[in-house]
Amino acid sequence: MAVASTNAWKIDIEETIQRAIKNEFFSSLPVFRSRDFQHRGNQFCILKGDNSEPQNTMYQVLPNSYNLDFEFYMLDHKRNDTTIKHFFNQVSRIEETFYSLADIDPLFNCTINGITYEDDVEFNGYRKATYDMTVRNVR
Amino acid sequence: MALNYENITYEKIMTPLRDKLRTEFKGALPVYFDSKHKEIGTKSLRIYPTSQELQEKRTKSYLNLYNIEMDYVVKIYGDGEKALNEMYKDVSRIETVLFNNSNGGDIPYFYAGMPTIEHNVDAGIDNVYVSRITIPVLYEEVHERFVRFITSNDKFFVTSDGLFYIVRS
Repeated sequence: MAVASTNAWKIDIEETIQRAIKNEFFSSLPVFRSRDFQHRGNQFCILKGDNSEPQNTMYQVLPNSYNLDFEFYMLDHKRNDTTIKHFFNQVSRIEETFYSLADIDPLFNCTINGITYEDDVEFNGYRKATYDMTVRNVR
Repeated sequence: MALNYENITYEKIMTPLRDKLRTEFKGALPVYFDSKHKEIGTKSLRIYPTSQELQEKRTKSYLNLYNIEMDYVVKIYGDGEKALNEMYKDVSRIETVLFNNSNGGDIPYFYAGMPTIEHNVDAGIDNVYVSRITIPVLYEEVHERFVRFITSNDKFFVTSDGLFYIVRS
């Protein structure tokens, strides 16, 4: 007989993050889980799970640390002060969304270890911010 | 309901830095934000953050270190010695401005250390000297704190300071 298991990466981690972003931004900022970069409108995010590490072994529960990259892309053709301000405004808003998420769900502890900014020709005019995140979750 | 947040990187880190440098150099040194170089006059200063790193997570705040990159660009004319002297002079002046403004006054940030300076950076532009100034800035961000209440039918709602509440099902 197959064991009963929870799809922790999908249900507990990635869909929780997708839901939090959707609650704050509604449909203006879609979050995709695809690994391959594709241009999808003016702004979008890609969630990439990297790895998970076990915490203390406990009776009846499985505590893990999940390491993810959350990539935010914003198209910037004008490349002026206003668009740069808007880009960092969105970065701060996403950051605050993650912090509030950490408080609301007692089983969900989210840390943003860092954010790196990239702006390469390969992104075809998109500015990119990559959030290096660790989510601690118990199931 | 939308969250309250501040545009920290732009409003609290980049803008005070740009304003201090603009005040010092008046119109003699155009200062702008971008990740790529722009053709502006004979010399210019480009400011852009490269990353932020979490230093400490506290109960109601996060202390982050912001790494800010500034590229000083001066066009080479003649044998280049004049431009070189101007670059050294301006970079030293920028360094002094940063040292004299090591805390933000009414804005709660401060520089985590003196800037590192690298000359002869290849920025992909011809006939210029480029000097890269990298400065670490610390800023403590206070975030909204919520409390979670569970109702008898397993739904929950979340409050902040009693002035309003957010209901999630």
